Amino acid sequence: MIFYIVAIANGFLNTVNKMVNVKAGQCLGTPRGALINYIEATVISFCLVYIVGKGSEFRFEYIKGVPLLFYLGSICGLIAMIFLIIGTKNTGAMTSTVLMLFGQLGTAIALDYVFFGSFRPVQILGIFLILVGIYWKEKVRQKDLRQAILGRNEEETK
Amino acid sequence: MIYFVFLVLAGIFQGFMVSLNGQLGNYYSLFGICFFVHMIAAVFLFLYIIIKEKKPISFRGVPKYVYTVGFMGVAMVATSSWCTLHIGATAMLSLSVIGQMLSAAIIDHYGWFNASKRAFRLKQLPCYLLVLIGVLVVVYG
Repeated sequence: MIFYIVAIANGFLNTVNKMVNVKAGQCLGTPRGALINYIEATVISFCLVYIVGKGSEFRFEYIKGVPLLFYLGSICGLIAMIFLIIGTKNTGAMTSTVLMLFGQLGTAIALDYVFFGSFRPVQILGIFLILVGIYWKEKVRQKDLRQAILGRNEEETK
Repeated sequence: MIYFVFLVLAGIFQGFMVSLNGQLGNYYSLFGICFFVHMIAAVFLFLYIIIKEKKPISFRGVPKYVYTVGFMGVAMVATSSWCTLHIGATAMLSLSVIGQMLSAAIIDHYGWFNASKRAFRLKQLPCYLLVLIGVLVVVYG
């Protein structure tokens, strides 16, 4: 149960982090805004590793023993960010949210099968429902936004 | 059409990121994962800025709360890797979607972080319920 609660909390943090990153990007530019995040997090986590007494993880022999593939997560994150920026600029928030989630959840199912050997076909139905729910929510939001703009325009012409 | 492909690719790479970071958890402590994930990204981004933009790097002139991003980054990577190792990437990402939707609705409702205020309306509720059902199917199905 604790994992489920923490995963939801992770989503909360994700949104707040995005808002703060947007502000950093506005003040410093997107690359520098992201760099401040990475540098700070590197220093903080480096200190925390030693505080919790796991400094031996930084031995060169140990680092070398870990498959190289597993270190590529952050590079995947950077590539994702580039695709996301280009894609969102040319499509819009709704399309980008739904398509990105589709790719994300589809890949997660495939990789869970590769790494954990677990696959339940019913999960595909679940993902479909999530995507429809998000699409519907974005549609409602856009409709509200359009009505608000129309209302404001009408008031101004009066 | 090509931009749709870019967005799906963005999602695919993010899925890879969450999953690979989770796999690092078999070798490193949670903070060890955070260190490598952020350090590698910082090096690449630093090189990009130096080579492409050729301008000095300065972090001045931002509101003080922006300096909390590092703490949030560590917390996010640590929690997502921990959860992915125990419940799998699919369940972790689906549950995270619920958290993101709820927090976005709260931020919009109160207009936090200078976001334009948009009140939560009851007609949005069915959309949230549909997503919740989807997440429950993914996690417990």
